[in-house]
Amino acid sequence: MSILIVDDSKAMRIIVARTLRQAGFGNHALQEATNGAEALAAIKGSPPDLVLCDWNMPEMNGIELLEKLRSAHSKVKFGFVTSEASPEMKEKAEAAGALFVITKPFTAEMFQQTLTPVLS
Amino acid sequence: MTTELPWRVLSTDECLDALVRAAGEVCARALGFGGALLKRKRSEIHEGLCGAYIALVSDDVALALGVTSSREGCLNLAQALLGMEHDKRLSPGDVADAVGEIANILAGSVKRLLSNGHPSFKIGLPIFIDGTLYPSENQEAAVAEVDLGPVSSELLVVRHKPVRRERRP
Repeated sequence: MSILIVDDSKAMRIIVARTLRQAGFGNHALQEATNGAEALAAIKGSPPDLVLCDWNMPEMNGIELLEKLRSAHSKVKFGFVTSEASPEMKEKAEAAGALFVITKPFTAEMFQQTLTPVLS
Repeated sequence: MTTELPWRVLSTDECLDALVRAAGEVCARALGFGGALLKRKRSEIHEGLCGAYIALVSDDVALALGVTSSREGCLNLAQALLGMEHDKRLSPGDVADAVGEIANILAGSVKRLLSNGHPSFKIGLPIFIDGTLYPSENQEAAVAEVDLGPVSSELLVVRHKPVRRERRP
């Protein structure tokens, strides 16, 4: 199984990967993309089992990526990991097809609780 | 003529208190530190520190939030965020990215802490500056000297000096 981590911050990609391992998902292959456009190409080439995506990114932001995926009838499991977590943004994320929004700062326990039902 | 806004005006001190609380959350959840210890507050910005700044803007409030420390302190914060040992050196770009991410996370927490009863803030782009921030004449600053775990740091809020709004007669 594979998980695609999408974030323009190298630091955040490292932290998400580390937290995934701490949460018990270290047996998954972890891939990275630095923005939505790069992620879209990667997903089209080889769809992961889950996309963990930041909201604000250059080239193509997270919500644009999700909307493009759903427009192309992709059913890839998708969730946001973001510092932005207003009720309006959560509604927008869910309406676009996101399964969850994890708010920074997050813990391994939060990843475990949120991702276990998604990946099982 | 001005009309009263339907929401209350946030004080700079209130914003700084939210930033200090946010720093406690970041210390515990993201940096692996016990918490943030507030040592004192003041209104002057310490010269010679570096760090990351990020905007938090709503319809009536525009804030710049900052987290600063010495160069070594910023390196230590970056190492803590990335789960690295102190003997691991990072490039200036990696330090800037990591401390910028700390500012981003702080902004998200402050937004959540201040949003109750107040319109939704938008978070800007974090930028890392090795130099002193100088507020202009129309701006005011509030600074909290804190220990983010073992790292002596400063948290800043900069904003326009609040304008007193009067109800239309």
